[in-house]
Amino acid sequence: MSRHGKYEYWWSYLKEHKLMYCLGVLTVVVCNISQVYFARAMGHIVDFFSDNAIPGWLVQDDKKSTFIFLFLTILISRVFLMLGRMGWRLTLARQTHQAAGDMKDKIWKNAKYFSTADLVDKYPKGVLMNAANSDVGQARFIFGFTLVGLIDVIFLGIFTLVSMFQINALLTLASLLLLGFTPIAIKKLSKIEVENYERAQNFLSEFNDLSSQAVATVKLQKLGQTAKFWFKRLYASASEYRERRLSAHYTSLKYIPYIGMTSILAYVVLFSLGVYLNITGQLTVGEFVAMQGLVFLLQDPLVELGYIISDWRKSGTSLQRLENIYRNPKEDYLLQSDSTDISGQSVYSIDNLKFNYGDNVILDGIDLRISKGDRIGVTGKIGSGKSTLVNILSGLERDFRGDVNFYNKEFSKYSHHDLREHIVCVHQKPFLFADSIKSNVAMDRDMTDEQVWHFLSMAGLGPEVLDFEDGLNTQLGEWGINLSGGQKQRLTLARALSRKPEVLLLDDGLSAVDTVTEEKILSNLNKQLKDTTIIWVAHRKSTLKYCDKIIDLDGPCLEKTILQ
Amino acid sequence: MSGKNYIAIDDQDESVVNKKQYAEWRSFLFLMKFTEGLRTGLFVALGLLLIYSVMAMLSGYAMGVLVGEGLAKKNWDLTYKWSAIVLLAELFALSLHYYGRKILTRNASFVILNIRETLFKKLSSLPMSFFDRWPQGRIVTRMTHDVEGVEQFFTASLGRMLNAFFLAMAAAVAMLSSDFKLGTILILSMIPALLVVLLTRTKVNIINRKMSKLASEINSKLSEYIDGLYVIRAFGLEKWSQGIFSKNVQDHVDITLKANTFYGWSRPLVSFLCSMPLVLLVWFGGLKLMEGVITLAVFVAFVRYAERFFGPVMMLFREVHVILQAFTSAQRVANFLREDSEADLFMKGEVYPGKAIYGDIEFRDVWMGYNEDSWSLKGVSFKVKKGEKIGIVGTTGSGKTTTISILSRLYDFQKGDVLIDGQSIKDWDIANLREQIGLVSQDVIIFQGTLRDNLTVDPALSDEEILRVAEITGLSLVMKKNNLALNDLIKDGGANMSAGEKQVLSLTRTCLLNPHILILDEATAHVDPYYEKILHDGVENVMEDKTSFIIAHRLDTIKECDRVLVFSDGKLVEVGSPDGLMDEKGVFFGLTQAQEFVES
Repeated sequence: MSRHGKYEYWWSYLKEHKLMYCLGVLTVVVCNISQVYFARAMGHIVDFFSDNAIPGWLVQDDKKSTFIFLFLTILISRVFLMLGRMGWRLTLARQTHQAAGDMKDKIWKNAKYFSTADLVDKYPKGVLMNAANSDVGQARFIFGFTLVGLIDVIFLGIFTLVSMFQINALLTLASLLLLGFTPIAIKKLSKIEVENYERAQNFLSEFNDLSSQAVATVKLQKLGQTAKFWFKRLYASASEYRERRLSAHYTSLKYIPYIGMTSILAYVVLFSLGVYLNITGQLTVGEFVAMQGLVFLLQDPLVELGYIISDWRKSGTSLQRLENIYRNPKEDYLLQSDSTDISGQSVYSIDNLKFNYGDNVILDGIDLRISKGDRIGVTGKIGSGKSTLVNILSGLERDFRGDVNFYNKEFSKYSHHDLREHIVCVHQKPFLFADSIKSNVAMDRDMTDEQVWHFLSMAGLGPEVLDFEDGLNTQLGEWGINLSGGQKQRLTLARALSRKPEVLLLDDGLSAVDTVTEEKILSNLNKQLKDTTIIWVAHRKSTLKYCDKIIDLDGPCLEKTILQ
Repeated sequence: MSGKNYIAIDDQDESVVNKKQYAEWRSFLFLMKFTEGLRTGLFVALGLLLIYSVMAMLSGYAMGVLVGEGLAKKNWDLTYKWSAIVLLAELFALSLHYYGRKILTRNASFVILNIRETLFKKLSSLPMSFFDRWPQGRIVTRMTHDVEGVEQFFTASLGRMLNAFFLAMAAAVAMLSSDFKLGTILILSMIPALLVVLLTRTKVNIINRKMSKLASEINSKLSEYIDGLYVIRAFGLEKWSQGIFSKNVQDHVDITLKANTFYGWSRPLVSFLCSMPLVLLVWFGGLKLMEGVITLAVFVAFVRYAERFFGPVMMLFREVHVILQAFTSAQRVANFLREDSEADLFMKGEVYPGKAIYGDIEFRDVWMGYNEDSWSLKGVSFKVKKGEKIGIVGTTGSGKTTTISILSRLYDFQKGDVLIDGQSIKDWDIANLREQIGLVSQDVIIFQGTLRDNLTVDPALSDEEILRVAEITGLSLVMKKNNLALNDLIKDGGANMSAGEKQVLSLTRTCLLNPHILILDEATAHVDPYYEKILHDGVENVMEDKTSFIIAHRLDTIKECDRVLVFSDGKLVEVGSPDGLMDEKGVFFGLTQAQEFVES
């Protein structure tokens, strides 16, 4: 197997768990030996009772003890089969699950450092979620279960064939010839089956999306009287899905005649050649029975081989997609750990800052000096580049032209960690984690309840949280309570304040808060954060009353209007 | 509004799962209702499968005769005859099996379609109070995942299982009729395997539930972190998020490994115990053979019977959890379908069919609470005449939104009455009433689809008509600015639109329904001045001659209203024209003062 390309991770995983895999192979072999012996022993039994010869090592002093001995070997073969099966489950099957966890973990390990552009175009949420579910779900099999199948097929196939050759070479060759097409047929069928299921499955995700939308828009449907249109849409979609799913099921059912026909072919061989050999005395009755058992035993690995080939191919494709994620370039600045000191009075000095989004000029030549403790307001229409400016100032958008210096040095001189310690941003769209209120404020830091309450009340949310039955432990998110837009914004403000930042960027973070409350919060912040440099973005000038300087991005000239 | 305590407990929650709201078996029978019209097909399929298993046994019997009477006794005529019989029986069995399963699957797929249809109808009939109690994700799960669970069982497993069941039964009958005593011993020898399966049943259930719970936790974590990546980056939480995610993954791996270990010993053990009939057959059959009680033919036939007995039984044992899972899914679906609908809740007595609304509205001492503990409206009374523009103000939670929700019948009220054109809305047909009330709310719901899909689901509406209304509401300006056509795609949640643009879209959506009463709920809260102007003009155009309510925090939007209703703590505290209320120097005056203080 190639050590490069899509199997790189697979190969390194196998090497890492060499011992387990060797043990696993051994246990599968034990299973196979037991299975083959069992089939042969059943033949011996028949031979024994029809007074034909059985292998010498089984013969004991008298008939009764020979029977008991024969019986014991049968029983022991079943016990070994059981132990062997336990063995591969505890060795190989285990790897399936462990590798799956590993692969899932690696997705976030890598994806969290992807560039925003990649996350939008190449790896949007749907693709990553799909990778974590379907791709990991499929790829994991070649770490365990498919391997078991492969080893099983190889050894069971070989053992069965050897046993059959020992009994009668001619009959074996004839059976093999007739059954040889089985893996090819199964592989083909399984390919069609997979395609059909994928078609159905893809439609199912669309259909499920539609169902989620239907649930999400219930209120709208009630008010807009659109429920009946939704019903039509859903029903049409469900009917279509039923048809696709059914055609996939029909393909699966085709295995019945396919495999059934191989059985019938096996019978044909047995009844013609087998009976002929029996008549001519080259095959005992017991051997006939054993051959019958072995032919059916051979049928299994041949069918299995077809599945394995198609399974392997599917897993390979999934593995490739996962490898692509693991190798996708990451944003270097997020991983940067060397840093220089952050100190001085000049927080930002910006010269001729330009930013384009595609062909759209978003920021065109901005000059700005911001000193420690300044209160700067930024205003302008939607699309005038307010949020872009905030992203640039926070050091998270580096794809600009012009000079931006933070404490007299470029952002690239500081580590991601240090920058995040100093600059904190409250976004316009409040994002909260599905966790308690306290965890949403503290996040990765340890905080006492008192500290959390302090920041909540600074953000004007204290009294409302007090009213919640569970207080700080109130759960948010889908399984918890829903905060209003304004409450969410104030909670994200509290979260930002709890980092005690040097620079606080507020990107219209109080737009959904009513004016009375907003005013209270603003005057509070202004009083309590004397040393903090605050940059307020708002489209309502009232929000900016505490600012020393206001930058109007809609201003007519290149330098942008600075309203004093 | 929807506090933690008021969220309905998930029926899969450990605390209720043992109480069994709707017994698993009974919920399955409940689902049998959906087989109506399909029963003939289902019975034909069952019949075919039953004959198939008989044929399969016949082939086993024929094989015994072939070996014991033909080959062993060198009776070639018999050998040829029984070879042909085996082949024919196998061929016939094969066709029966194939067509039986096909017919079964086809009919089962229609059963599932019936269930889905009923669920869709149920969804639109549920009251808003239901959606407050049930998290959206759980409803989606009922509509999708749980139906799939039932579907999986009906279309894939059911056929296999029935087959296995019939085969095992036929094999049992064949064994018992060949040699009753030996047959009985063999069948009884399955008891240890059965015991292991039954004893591990609960454990399998618990492990499976835990596994799926942890798996979905990984998914929601990943989805959450992808959504919140900008926050993770802004706060430098990369390592922290990795720690939590890795722990989630590890928890899931741990439980799957635990399950693996559990299956690691239980599955091979069950397989071993299932092969007991065959081993015992060798022992008892062998002894009987030696005593000359049975013939070799019977012995060989027995071997085939036993093979055909323990194979299917083992499969049944293995798929016990599939059956259990299907029962659980069926139970959830059944419970969901039993939830009270809007009609159950609102239209208990005689229903007023409705009429075209003229526009007079009256609230008479209305009391309303979202839960039993507190009132959100406390005796609100007011009258509004046709064509009036009414402003509604008050702080958050004062009862503004509640008042409006009551008028649209999203929520019921407990005391008092609401009259439109003198007719109580208590027994007014909900569909008729809502058709005539248009609401533009602060939460704009936008889904992935074309702009047209987002504006209307009425295919009869022409592009010209939509564009005409878009001209009135200001949407045409938005479309021009973003170079957006009616058939262009809009991303889920309107990710590529600003708050103002979404509001304009929402206003247009409402206007396309041509309502008689218009409600604007804080419609301009997130909108920047540029769009506020567009929206304002659009709203002015639309409200012409209609009774309208405007809820806004920014009081300047209310200056043009004819009258203002001032709410505080669930009560209506002041009513009057904006100027009159200013002179009164009451609550409204206080609110405007705070505002002006900020604006200055």
